[in-house]
Amino acid sequence: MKTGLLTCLIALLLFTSAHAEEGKKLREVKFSLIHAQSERIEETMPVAPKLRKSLETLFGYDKYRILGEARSELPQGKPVTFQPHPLFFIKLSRTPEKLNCYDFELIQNDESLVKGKYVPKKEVPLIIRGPFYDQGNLVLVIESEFDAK
Amino acid sequence: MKNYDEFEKMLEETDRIPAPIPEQRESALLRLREDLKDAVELNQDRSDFHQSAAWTRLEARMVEVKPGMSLGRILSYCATAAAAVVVTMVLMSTGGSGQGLPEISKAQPGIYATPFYSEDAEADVIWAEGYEYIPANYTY
Repeated sequence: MKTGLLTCLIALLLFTSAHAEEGKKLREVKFSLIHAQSERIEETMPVAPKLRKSLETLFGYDKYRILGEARSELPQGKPVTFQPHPLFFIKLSRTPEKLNCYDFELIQNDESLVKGKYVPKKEVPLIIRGPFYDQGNLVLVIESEFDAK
Repeated sequence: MKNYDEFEKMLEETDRIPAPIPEQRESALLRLREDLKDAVELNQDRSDFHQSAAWTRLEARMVEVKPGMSLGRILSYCATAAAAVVVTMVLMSTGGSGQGLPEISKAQPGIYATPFYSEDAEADVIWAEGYEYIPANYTY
């Protein structure tokens, strides 16, 4: 009984310290539209190495180029629209009933494609598979930056 | 008050005590046997008063013996710490990446979106299918 209680207490302490990071304030969100293809494209705006590795793991293409990027802070209660490229834009707003959760809506040519919720996480991007484009694929990536302390 | 016969009986009983943890129990048992042997020898030709004094001394010594930091206790602490780490890992694996997994509330008809966490890519992923193809010469 005593041992079980001690185990739970230690586990709770470890878990709390490990997740203290998630209580950090979200500073900025970056939304990127990336073109992934194995040939006929020049990587004029190359993707950061870590993200590129993630994209290679998921999609398997050889070349990745950024078609557009948009950054913004997320003010409380106000929806923010990111439009990195004329093809797509995404709307983000804080989910009222859930802590650290955001509603998103992916829009193409004024048509809503996908709506949902996600939790921004440090060093964990949200990668959305987009439509086939040219001889490859479009990929939409949301990256979150948090305050240092 | 214990007397010679009772000490001898107790000494015999110690022979029948099982020893589940050999190193610990045997050494304690050996000490008890030694003490009982002493008590038997002391009480063999002693008066009731002496026997009573011997018993009081023995009883006092038995009360003083407290368990120290035995190997079993150390192992028990190690097991507790290990269990805590395992529980934390379980909490983190279920509440870490699982917590805050993207959710899809609505998708355009024909589009099928599946959210998941990819450990290999270290990313939350929404794998959507069913979009219309966009040609390279598409104008917007």
